[in-house]
Amino acid sequence: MSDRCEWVRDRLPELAAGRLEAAEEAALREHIETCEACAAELALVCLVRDEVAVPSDLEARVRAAVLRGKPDRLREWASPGRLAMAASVVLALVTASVVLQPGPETITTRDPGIAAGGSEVVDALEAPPWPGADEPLLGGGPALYQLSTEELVILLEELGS
Amino acid sequence: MTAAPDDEAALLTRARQGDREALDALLRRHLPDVYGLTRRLVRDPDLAADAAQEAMINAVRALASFRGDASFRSWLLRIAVNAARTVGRKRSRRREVDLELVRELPAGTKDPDGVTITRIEAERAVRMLERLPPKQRLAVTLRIQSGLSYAEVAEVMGGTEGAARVNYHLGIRKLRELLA
Repeated sequence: MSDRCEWVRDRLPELAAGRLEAAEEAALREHIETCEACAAELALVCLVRDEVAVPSDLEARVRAAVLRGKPDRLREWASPGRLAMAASVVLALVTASVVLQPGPETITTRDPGIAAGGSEVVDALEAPPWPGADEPLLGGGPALYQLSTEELVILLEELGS
Repeated sequence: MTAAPDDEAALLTRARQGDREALDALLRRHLPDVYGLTRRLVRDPDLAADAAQEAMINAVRALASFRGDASFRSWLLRIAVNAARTVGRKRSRRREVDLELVRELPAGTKDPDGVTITRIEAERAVRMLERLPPKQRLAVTLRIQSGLSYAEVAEVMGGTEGAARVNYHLGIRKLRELLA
């Protein structure tokens, strides 16, 4: 490789990106027209160049994360496998809270309404009929059924960390 | 994106003093470069976004320690490389394949230099880039895809300008062999 080729190849990324001064660009093009190896390397540089679009919501997410000082991992958490796991854990927690709740009207998993199928379980979660269901959990916090899906995912993440 | 040095220095000073507007302006200015790099290194879009967030948070925490020996952009991209490495370990566990990185090009598109680029060729080149040794891959990525000079590549990689240049040219040679 000649000194000229070396000089040209050092500047190919800038040529491909259109960031050279006109005179320098003309000098490079003049050389490339007569040098097959440098022309091939320019083709390779053009091939490797790509443009990555920033997701539209990323700036807001990053700004919020910077202010919070903690990354927002919701997307990662929201993968189908994790959501299924989270749903299982939430169901187990709610079931446990029902089973362990003292009182004459306690509903257990043997209750025919719950044992019959999934829709009844959902109904039970939406309108909890068991005694003490309105009592806040753990030191004055809201009951599980009062939390949104997002809050449940965050709670599970904190429990898991 | 390259900022006017004076403007950048003023923003940095204000951001260090806790000025949220200045911090926002720095974030807006450099996020495309940071995400562009993490996306190219990690490939999975969600993990790349996580890495970009991680990088920005770490940069803000370390802002007081930035002395200006390197350009702010190089300093930030170095933090982004480390964040991409951290999330990259997760990716290796997930083993996801993502072809979205390759820009959508209709077959036979002519670029301004008259080089015919097909989508398949571009896809293959990006895949082959992943097979380069790590330092060569990083040097080629920073030089061609992030548009850094050799001096800036050296700042990001933590070596000399000469080493950055050698790694870049070795990477290009290896890439040519892989694509042959």
